[in-house]
Amino acid sequence: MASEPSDEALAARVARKDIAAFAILYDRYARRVYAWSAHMVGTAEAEDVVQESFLRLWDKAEQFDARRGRFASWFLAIARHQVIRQLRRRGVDRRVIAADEIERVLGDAIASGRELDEEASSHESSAAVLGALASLPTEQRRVIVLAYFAGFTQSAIAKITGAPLGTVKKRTRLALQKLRERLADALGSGWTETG
Amino acid sequence: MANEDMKEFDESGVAEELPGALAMASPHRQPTELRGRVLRAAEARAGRSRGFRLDAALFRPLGAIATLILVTALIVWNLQLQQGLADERTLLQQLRENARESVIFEVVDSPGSQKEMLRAVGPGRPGEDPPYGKVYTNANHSEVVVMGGRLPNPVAGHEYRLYLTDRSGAIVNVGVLKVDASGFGYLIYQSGMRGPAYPAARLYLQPSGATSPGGTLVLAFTAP
Repeated sequence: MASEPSDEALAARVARKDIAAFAILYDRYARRVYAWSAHMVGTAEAEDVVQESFLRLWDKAEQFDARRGRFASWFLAIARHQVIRQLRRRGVDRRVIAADEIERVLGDAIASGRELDEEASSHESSAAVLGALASLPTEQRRVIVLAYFAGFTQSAIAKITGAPLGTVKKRTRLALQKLRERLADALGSGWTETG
Repeated sequence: MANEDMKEFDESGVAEELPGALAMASPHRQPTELRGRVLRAAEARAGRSRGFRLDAALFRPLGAIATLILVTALIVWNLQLQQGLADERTLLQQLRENARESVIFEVVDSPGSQKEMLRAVGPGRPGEDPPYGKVYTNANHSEVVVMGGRLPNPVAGHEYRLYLTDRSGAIVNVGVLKVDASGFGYLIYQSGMRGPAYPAARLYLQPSGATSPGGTLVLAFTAP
């Protein structure tokens, strides 16, 4: 049976304006971008974020260099930029409320026993990270969500949470370390650091 | 987030898994029509892009050539303009130094003055600037002032003679243009009418005493 084409191979085809390859990448990543955007900027604007992110992929695919990193990192950085661009129109309070909702959803994911959307990500690693996020202490999960999903700097997180900057940095470091360890455990020795 | 903060996430190797984890846990589902909309937008953009690339590929070289031609033409035109102005200044300076008749300056340098450029005809002499001249008339005067510059001294038995063509097509033998050692010469022609106008002028190098155009055409002007 033929194996699925890698994201990197598909990106190379998108650079040549292969719409079929573009559609496959859309199916692999749109759900992630939409869920993130819907939580942070609302469902209506989430559609704009998804469309803009993928059109940037379409326009800029030739700039992706597989020797410098994985496609997922490259594309999700584009999506993240689009989300944060939309977030800048909102006040800090609304961003914090949206981030808190994400933190609650992640925290409840395993404990609530609610059925997870297995189609959302084809990566086993996402499930491992979700499990790790759910098991993190609340304050550590919160700094991850505020930093990554809501785009706050560590200084801003210190002000939002009322914790000293050093504490925020320590929580971030510990959280990332646990996520990384959990990911390595889940994926076995085949997993390698991409950074 | 500051780049430095994000770097820590990137180096951890888990950042790219975070959106997938959220998507698994999130109740939000994208609208089914969004996929088609995005794909259509990409295809539409591809069509525009192909068209643009085709147009750009076609017109970019043409644009460069057109720009080159335009720039070259402007440079040539500017050089000719500068040369014409320099020639005119030289002629007028020589006229001031040589002319004694005050009417010349009234024709040449007063309101109502009209001038036409006499240009060299035929191949130039290697290493030398071509001869040139001016024909001045004035709406308030009946005299015609003709000047020439850089004219080689005529060989023995020859002279420069100017012929004007009036509006009826009649050719008028204006007279001899005598040149000095520098190649400068001028003459004044009394037309007998106020504000004369001539659509053509010819300066010939011809045997002395000629009465009609002939010999070597040296300078000429014809109104467009």
